[in-house]
Amino acid sequence: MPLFPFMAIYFWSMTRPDYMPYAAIFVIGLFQDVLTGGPVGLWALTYLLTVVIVSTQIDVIAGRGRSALWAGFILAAVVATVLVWVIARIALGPDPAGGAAWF
Amino acid sequence: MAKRRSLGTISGLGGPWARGFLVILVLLSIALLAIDRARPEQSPFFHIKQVVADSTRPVLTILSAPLRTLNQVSAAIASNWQAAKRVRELERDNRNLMQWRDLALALHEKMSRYEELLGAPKAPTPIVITARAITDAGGPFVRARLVNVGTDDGVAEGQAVLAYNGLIGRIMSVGKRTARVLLLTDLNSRVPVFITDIGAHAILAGDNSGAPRLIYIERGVQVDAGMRIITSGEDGVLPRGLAIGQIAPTGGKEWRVSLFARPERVDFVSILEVPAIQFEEAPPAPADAEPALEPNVEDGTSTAPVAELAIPASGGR
Repeated sequence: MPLFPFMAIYFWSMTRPDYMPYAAIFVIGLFQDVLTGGPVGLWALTYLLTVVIVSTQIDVIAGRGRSALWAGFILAAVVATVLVWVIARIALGPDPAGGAAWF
Repeated sequence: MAKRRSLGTISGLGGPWARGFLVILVLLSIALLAIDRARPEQSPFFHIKQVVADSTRPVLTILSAPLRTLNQVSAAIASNWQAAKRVRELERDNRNLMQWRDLALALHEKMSRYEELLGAPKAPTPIVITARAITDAGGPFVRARLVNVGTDDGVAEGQAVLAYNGLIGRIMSVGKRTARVLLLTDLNSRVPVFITDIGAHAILAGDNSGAPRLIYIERGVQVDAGMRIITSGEDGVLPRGLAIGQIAPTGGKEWRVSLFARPERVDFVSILEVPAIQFEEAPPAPADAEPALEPNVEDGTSTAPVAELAIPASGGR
């Protein structure tokens, strides 16, 4: 599953943040964790941190038309992907079978 | 724009209340992660996950419909791309397979005669439960899928899950009406396998990539690309002889297996419900693990079409 939930989180966080409170982001992330059977809290943490990071650039992204919003999404998606990788590496630890460091 | 900006300051990052709440949520997620750890079987959320899966099943079934259609369309386009060439290939394959089928039938007949002569115990015929995958293959860190059958349908933990052309995984957890399938490609998947061409045992270890690795290969055997991998049944969980894949040609030191089935693409699956092995002596002590393997060594008498027999396939692809 790609970052489908993140599309909604990003869009509403950038255009109408009051429609997407932190609690909602947390619940969405938690739901995704539970449903995919992955480590619980992984996506919740990732989405929260990504929104916090991207929200610092909200003046650049929001209210400047579609292309700015899309550019912001590319940035946000990269941030989210890097974050989730880092968090998972820390939370899951190394591959028990001694596999490659990059999976 | 001014309005948006002002809204942004209310709950974007602004407001001490919202910020404090944010910190709490972040800490909570970290705590959850710490509790959950990497081993799903020991997690306190193990059962919660299954309950959530059960209750979201109707929604997921509906939501999976458009995706399924999309998959079918893309598959149709892909298969029509070089239709004429494909037909020729398939005809040739078919001629080959006819010969294999004759051989299989002959061997099967011979085998059952031998078994009769030797008085070998009949291998239990597995019951096949057909199921449909209702979620995608998890995220980048999990290779698991939900299927729409559960304990109500006779599914239990550890049962083998097959696509029409090979094993894709096993049942990891069961709810009343859903079950989670741990795919062979998952990081936590370890399946004892048998390399048929050289008769060597090994472990098939998923690492979240498309092709699982072969680890702990028996010493002193010459592994080569194209060799066929089947389940060995040494774990006492999966039956012996289920087709898995072929050893992929890799240049490096490690060997990988290209699976016959593509676990992430599979739609309908068959779950093998193998009747429990009956022991006539006292229940096996933990020390003697080897007699437990004997009764399920023979899988040849199974008549289920999905239970692929351990007939040697051609070495080539």
